[in-house]
Amino acid sequence: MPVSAAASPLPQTTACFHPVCLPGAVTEASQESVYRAVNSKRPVNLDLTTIHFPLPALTSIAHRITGVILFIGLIFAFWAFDKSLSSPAGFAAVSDALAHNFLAKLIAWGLLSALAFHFVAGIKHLLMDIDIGVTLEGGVKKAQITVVVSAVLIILAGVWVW
Amino acid sequence: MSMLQVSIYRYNPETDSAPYMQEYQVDTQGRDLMVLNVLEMLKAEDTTLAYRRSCREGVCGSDGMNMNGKNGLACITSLSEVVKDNKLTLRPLPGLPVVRDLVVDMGLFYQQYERIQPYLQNDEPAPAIERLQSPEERDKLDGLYECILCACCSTSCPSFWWNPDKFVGPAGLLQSYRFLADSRDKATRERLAELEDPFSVFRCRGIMNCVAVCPKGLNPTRAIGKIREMLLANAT
Amino acid sequence: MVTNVTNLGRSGLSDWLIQRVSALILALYTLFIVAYLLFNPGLDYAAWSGLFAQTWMRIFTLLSLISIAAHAWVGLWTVTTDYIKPTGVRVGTQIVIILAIFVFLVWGIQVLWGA
Repeated sequence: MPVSAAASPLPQTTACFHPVCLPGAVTEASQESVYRAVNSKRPVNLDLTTIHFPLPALTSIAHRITGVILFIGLIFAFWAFDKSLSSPAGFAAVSDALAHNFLAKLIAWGLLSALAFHFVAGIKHLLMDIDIGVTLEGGVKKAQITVVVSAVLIILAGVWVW
Repeated sequence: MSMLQVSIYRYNPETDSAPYMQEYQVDTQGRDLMVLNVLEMLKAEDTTLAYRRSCREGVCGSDGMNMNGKNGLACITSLSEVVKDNKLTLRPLPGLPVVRDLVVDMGLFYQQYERIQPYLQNDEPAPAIERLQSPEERDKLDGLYECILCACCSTSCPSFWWNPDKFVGPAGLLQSYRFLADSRDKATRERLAELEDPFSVFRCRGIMNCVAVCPKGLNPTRAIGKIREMLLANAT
Repeated sequence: MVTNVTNLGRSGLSDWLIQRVSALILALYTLFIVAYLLFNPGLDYAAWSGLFAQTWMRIFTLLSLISIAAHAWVGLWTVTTDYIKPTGVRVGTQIVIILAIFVFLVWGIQVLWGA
């Protein structure tokens, strides 16, 4: 069997993810980077682009990302909360912004969308806690439902805001 | 047409400063071989290729590797299951240090396994015959004892990647539950006490990659849920 | 046993329970607010401030504010302990997040009960 030995260098990073590591250590081939592992000089295969992630894994990371987005978005939510209850003028300012200001509408829709996804995925987690859908098929099905329901809610939120 | 393109992760600590992908071409003659067969054909030509293997029937757990993105056992994974566009990419199990080529250092994996004390603990005087167990009690061990410690699950778990020294991981926790569920084991309280902290069990985010890749069809996520239930019953 | 001092509760189990309970409270609060806004399209200041002047609504809102604090901390603690490995950066980030959460909490209480 003919074997061709075409070798291509792997992308390497010095992004180390363990406390005891070598921040800023650069290998000689500096365009490339190597993932280094726990206390060891050995490389680690953690090139996420080469790993296949099934749907439940994707909904899980999206749940985390929407959570962080919501935390940052609390600033806007609290501003609106504060202003809308401060005085009739404040209330008018908030409802005016939500009715006419493009940026305000965009932020509102973005946060509502993140909330919709995080909410639905959260329900999925609560169901898993009571042992519903913890099988391979069940997990995939719940992830699919999460995406579909979230998409619907996001569209509805868009209609509401815009 | 029947030439399969195979791309393999290569790394020899004695000669290479960094890993790289090496391309091979294999003539499968149209047969639907197992990935392990392909590796053997390649090794016949390139003897420097390193990988673990033993039973070639999916019971020893030696040849776990990442095939076209998904973890599995090379000896029971046929080409028709994994090959896409006539290309097969083989990489070592993710997250563990690479010793050489497709061989990984299983140290952290075994460490977590040992940590959960994977042996029956019963200080009661030994009976004249074996410690008895009803069929119903024995049924509880199904789906738990069959684990072959191939590490496909733990190395597919992002939580294990980020904290392999603190999170026990799906394989370890499945075995932990195997003993928690065993009616003959009397160390339940001690086992649960060891798992109470925020890392050992609770890093499981329900990502379920473990269930997707287990070559024996086991379900670590469910076992972890059961451990949580036991902790909850014990502590609230 | 793996020890940790910046997590919220006294054990992994209590963190998990706090996160679930706060999630349920926040889910209910979200549904309530969304439903309220949907069913009151011509909402004006009088009705809105009237809603938040009622004691049961203040209790519900304060419960939700505390739930946000707890839920956000358990979640973000997990994120920081997953991805930020250099200890100084991680602890620093956790401190900033805790301060932000405290600010939100006080801000929310101020809005409800401020003059």
